[in-house]
Amino acid sequence: MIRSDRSAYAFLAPYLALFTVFLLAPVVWAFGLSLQSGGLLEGTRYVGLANYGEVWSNPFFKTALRNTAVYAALAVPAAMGLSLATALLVHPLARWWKSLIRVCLFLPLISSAIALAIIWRALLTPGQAGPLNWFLGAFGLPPQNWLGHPDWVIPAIAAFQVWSGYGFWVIVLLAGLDAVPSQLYEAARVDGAGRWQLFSRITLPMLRPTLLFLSVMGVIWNLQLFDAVFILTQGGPANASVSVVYYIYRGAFHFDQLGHSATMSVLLFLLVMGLTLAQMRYGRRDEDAA
Amino acid sequence: MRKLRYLLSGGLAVASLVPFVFMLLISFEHHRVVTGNPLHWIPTEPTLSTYGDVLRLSGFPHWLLNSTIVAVVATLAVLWIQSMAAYAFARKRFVGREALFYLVLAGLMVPGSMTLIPQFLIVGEFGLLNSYAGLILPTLAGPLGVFLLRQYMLGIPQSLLDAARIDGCREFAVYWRIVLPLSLPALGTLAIITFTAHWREFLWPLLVATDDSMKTLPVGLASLSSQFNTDYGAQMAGALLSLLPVIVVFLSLQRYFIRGLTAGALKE
Repeated sequence: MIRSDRSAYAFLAPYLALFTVFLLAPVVWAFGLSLQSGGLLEGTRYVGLANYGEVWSNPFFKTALRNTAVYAALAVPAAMGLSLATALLVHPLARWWKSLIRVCLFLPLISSAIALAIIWRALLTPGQAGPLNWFLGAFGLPPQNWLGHPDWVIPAIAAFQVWSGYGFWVIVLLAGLDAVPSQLYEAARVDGAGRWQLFSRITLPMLRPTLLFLSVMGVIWNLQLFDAVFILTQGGPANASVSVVYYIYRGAFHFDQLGHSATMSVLLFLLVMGLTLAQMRYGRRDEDAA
Repeated sequence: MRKLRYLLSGGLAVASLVPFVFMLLISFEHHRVVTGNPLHWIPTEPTLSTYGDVLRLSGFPHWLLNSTIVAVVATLAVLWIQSMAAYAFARKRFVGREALFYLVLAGLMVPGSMTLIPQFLIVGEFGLLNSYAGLILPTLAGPLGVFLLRQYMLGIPQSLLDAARIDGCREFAVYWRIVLPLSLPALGTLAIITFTAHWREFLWPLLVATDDSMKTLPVGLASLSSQFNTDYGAQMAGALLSLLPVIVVFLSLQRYFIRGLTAGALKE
């Protein structure tokens, strides 16, 4: 059975056809579009790398990139801290309780972000009447125009992202905690290790690969933020909440600037690819070290 | 100490449910404004007419039907097409196998937003805008399933495949009668990932389905706020109705869901 098995191509044909038409060709096409300016209505023309040069001069371009970096910088550490605390809190408790918590935290993960964002838009109603403002008012904090103020809009959307995604972090971390051999703790206790030492010398190092994986995934997810921005702010106020993907969408389908949008999508691709490859490399090194 | 742990973690779980409770309470009244005081959320004259309005006055029934068709058909198609490809990659020798597999694998790193514009142009070129084919076909190209299923199929003992061939099974029968049934756990995981992803997907149907009658639930919901812009009750009713099917499926299959979505993302 060393000769090539021709039936393999028959099994592969349907998938490879779809892959070529809807994934491979679009990727090549996106690179091609990034070298052009114009859009569907006015027609496109070849401009070489001019779009890439413009990245550094076009203010909207820079705003979208910067906003997305801020989203990720706020949401990823927050989700990591919160989920680590939750996982450590829940892990020693009864099995049925853990399952219950898991189910509660999982609900946002299976729900459409659109439905969830519609609720959040109501919760974040500005002024005294808004439910969140009412709640904060009980602690003497002043009401904010969460989605209408340029300083608050990104933290508000990042909070939405954390709320809707952090259950996933908790579930993965709980699985990671289950995988830590209990003999390690027993041995350390016999040697007289305290709580903090158990955490910093055993738990944290054992969770390191999981935490690394989660943070890279978290960054990649947040780089692709779109749904919440679309529902909550449409990119406003004054572009303060425009994310990279929202920029791509609006540029291509509202402003008919296919070239600009394609350039942004290529940059996003390079970022995601770089992160994924870096993670694979570090992940492997972690395994080698273990 | 242990009690404190229960209390704190319970509090966190409740906090993550607050928006859902809020949604439920608000949906039973035609609210003109949303007020902060939770006492005002408790409907004084509870009504289901908010639900009636959404079902009658908007395209909701269409959207529900479209979402169901898209999610079910796409899931079945992914299972079938990608399991065939996975079988070839896992168990067959042919020229170019490694190169092709790495090419497909590299597809995992392509963010959806990169292929968005060209896919839209291609689907438009084929005349598939506002069609189920346009909503479904491009989503079948994602390589996650091929990768997950191939990993699983690598573990099927060769002796089983050989025995089937000796018993006279044709190539397709080996795949259909032996490989597929043995891969059921992996297929189940993939089914859950694919179904949930399609039920949630927003950006692609937003572009393809511009006719109200072709919208899927998330796209339809997004347009509800312009139709019922002062009626928060109706909006919440719509949002809740759209979540209900997945929540019911999730609660009955939660163990598989949690395992499935975790596995999917771990491999992504």
